Order: sequence, then C-alpha cells, then structure tokens
Amino acid sequence: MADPLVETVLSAVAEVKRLPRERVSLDATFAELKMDSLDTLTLLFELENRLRIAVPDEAAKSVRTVRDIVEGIRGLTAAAASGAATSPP
Amino acid sequence: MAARRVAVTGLGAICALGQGIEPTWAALAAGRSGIGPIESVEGAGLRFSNGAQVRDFDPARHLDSARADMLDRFAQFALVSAREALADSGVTLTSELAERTAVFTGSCLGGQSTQDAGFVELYRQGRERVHPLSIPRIMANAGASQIAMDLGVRGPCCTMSTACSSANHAIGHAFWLVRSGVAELALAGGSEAPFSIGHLKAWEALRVIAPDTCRPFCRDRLGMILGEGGAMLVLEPLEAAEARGARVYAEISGFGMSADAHHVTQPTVDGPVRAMRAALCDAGLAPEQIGYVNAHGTGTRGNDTAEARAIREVFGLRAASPAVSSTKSMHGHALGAAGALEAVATVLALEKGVLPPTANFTVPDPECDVDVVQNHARRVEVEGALSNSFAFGGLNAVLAFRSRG
Repeated sequence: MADPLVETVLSAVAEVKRLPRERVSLDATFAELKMDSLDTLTLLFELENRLRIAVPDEAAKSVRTVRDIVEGIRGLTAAAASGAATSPP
Repeated sequence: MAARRVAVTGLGAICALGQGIEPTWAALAAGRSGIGPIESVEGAGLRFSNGAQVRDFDPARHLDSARADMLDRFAQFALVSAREALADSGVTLTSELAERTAVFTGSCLGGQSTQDAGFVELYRQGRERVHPLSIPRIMANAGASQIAMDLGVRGPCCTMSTACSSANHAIGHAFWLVRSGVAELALAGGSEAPFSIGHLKAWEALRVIAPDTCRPFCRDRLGMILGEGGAMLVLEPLEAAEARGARVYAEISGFGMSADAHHVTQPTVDGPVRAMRAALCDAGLAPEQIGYVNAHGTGTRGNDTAEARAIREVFGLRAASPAVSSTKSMHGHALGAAGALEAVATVLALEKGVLPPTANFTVPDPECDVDVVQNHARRVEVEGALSNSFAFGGLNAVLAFRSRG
C-alpha cells in the first residue's frame, strides 16, 4: 500500500522537475534529479501549500534527498500533533 | 576629449543609521548596527522579524505636503539624500550648469509599497479604484525625476534597475559621463523602501533572511537583513572642484561590470573577479594600491563564500589582501540603495582614514579567508578602495575610489 505522503512528495518533485512520475524515487538525491536551490524552494512551496504545513528555514537547509523531505515532513507533523496535544486550550 | 579625473564633492544619506551623513558616519565608525524589529508587520506571520528601517522619518520635515504626497517613500529618500548631497557640495547650479548636470538613480523595486497598498484596497477591501497618483508614485524613475524637478537639473537623467547592483550601475555610469565630458556634474546614487508585507513575503519565500541579525563572513551567519534608505553622491571634474575650492572627499576613479551568465540566484567567483579587475583597470590602479574593499557581503552562505574567493583571486595571498568589511551588518541590505550607502561609507573611509567594520561579528568562517575588519573600525590611511555590488541575475558592478592622500 503506497504511503500517501510519499506519493504526494514524489508527485510534487516530478512536477517541479517536469519529469515522468516513475523517474522519481524515494532514494533519489537532489543532485541526481538536477534540483538546484530554486527548485528546492519551489518544491517546499508546493508541499507547504498542498499539505498545509510550514517548513522552517533551518529545516529547509538540510534536505538533500527526496527521503529527507518525507522524513522532515513526518517530523514536523508529529511535532505539531504533540504540540497540539500538550498545549493548553 | 581626454578623460578627466572625477571628484566626489558632496554626500547625502538617509538609512537605519541616521537621517543625514553625520549620524550615518558616526554609526558606521562606531560599528553600531541599525538592525531591529520591523515595525508594522504584526500579524503577517513572517518567519523573520528584524530589519534596518529608517526610524521616525517625517517627510514633512523635508518636503512640503504637496510634494510629499506625490512621492512614495523610496522617492522621498532619493530626494532627501540628493538635496543633502548638493548642499554639502556647495555647488551653485546656474542655468548653464543645470543643463549639463546628470541625475542617475538606482532602484530595484520602485514604489512597491504604494503598489502593495493599492492591491490591499482592491483585493482585500473590495474597493473599485486606486489612487490616481499610483503610477507616478510607483514608477522606478520617480526618484530621478523628482530630483530633476526639485533641483531644476536638466541634463541626462535616468534610473538603473539591476536588483542589488542598481546604485553601483547608476553611480558608475554617471561617473563615466562626467569623466568623458558629456556631463559637468552628476548626482548619482540610489534609494529603496522595501518594507511592505507583500514584498517581505517574497523574501521569506526565498529563505535567505536571517532570523537574528546580519553577520557577513561569520561561520554562524544565517542570511541577510533587509534595509531601506537612500544615498547620493555629487560627482564633478576634479579640476572644476579644485577651481572653486570645493572639499574633495575622494576621487571616483573606476567602474567595472560583468555578468555571470550562470544562475539567477547562485553567485559565481568568476563574475565578481572580472568586475573587480575591470574596475581596477578602468581606474588605472594595481591590486596592491587597494587597501579596503567594501564587500557586497550580504551574510548569505552563497554570497560571502564566493565573494571571499573572488577577492583572494584578484588580490592573491591573504597577507597581501586588502581589509574587507560589509557595512550591510549595520545599514542592512538596502537593495537598490545598497551600493549608494556603501559608496558613501567607502568615500568617507578614504577621507577619514577609518575603515568601518563588519558589525555583529562572532567567529570567522574558514571558507571566507579574507582580512575582515571585525566589530571595531580600523584606523589606517589607504590609497584606493573598491565597493562591490553583485545582483541576483548575476549582474556585477564594482566602483573604485582613490584617496586624496
């Protein structure tokens, strides 16, 4: 069963780089995909809009692979969920 | 006509460090930063909160209300600094001289805060019309045009818009007009007012603005800090300046340009190297005559590393390299005004024998292996200086100045 987050990220990468979806894998590096800094910014912008999340600048600086993006977003949403659970009403 | 030597005889500036040359230089020499919390952006959800704004600017102190209404904040900065520069020079603009006087301004954004406010009214407040002065306020040449009208200057007048290099391109071209004899006097510089929410959001999306402050060439630098303001220089033939007994701050002696032709935001080493060498060649200065470089020094990872490498490539061994500082650490990155504020800093550094520092300095970045003036001004007489500006889009512009000695 495909993970919806992985699917969303892979599709977004394919769209930003104008590549067929099957050419983008979870383990692809940005270097292999020829993603430069502006491509990365555009990808994060697309994902922030689609997933309704906010990626901090510091977290954005460390991503180098498609997997980094997926894991980074999982970490962000988990932190947001636990923050929501513990914050006062 | 033989090329003439060109003197800088008047200065004007308004920025986060002060309204006027005197307070601006006092802060530069003291290494005092004008960076602080950005006013009037509460609720915008910005990921950064600091900027270098002109605090307590009251246009009514400088301009009558009818003229102030006609001008966006960026053009007000242009006009206020041009008036100061002309008065400082002591030049009397006769009708004959006014016809041979040039005005060259730099602006990256024009009156974008006027545009932003108009869009809020249209799209958010549901109004059906915007103010009829919107276009004259927004146009990027508003600063140059208003200076010409206000001072009665009727010679070559235009605006250069090359992002962060705008003012250096403007000053460089004005210098060439005076040197070649096309103009007998020039007011040249730049101005910018980038603090509207719509524009700040665009910078936020680029992820290059520091959440804390601007620390160029430091290992722990986190990016740039936006600034605003305006600065103008009066340029005239050295011979004419000496004939009228004018104070000559320094000579402007060279201008060099290049294009990276590489990437819209990633800098190269080669482009800046070629622009610095072109400026030296234009000035007839050898690298060893340069004692100070006012760096582009934005505080981003990409710029500072590439610029330091470029400086080393032009000047060779570290021991032989000039002192380097980025005054953006104090007045912020004022985009189309940056080169003008930095030209003022460079000219005064030469005149006073005081090199303004890079403020907010913490730990040197080994990747930026140049002699950075850290936190405290350095008292040293230098013969020549460069002022670098490198724009997004890969457009580089470097000015060379020479001390009166």
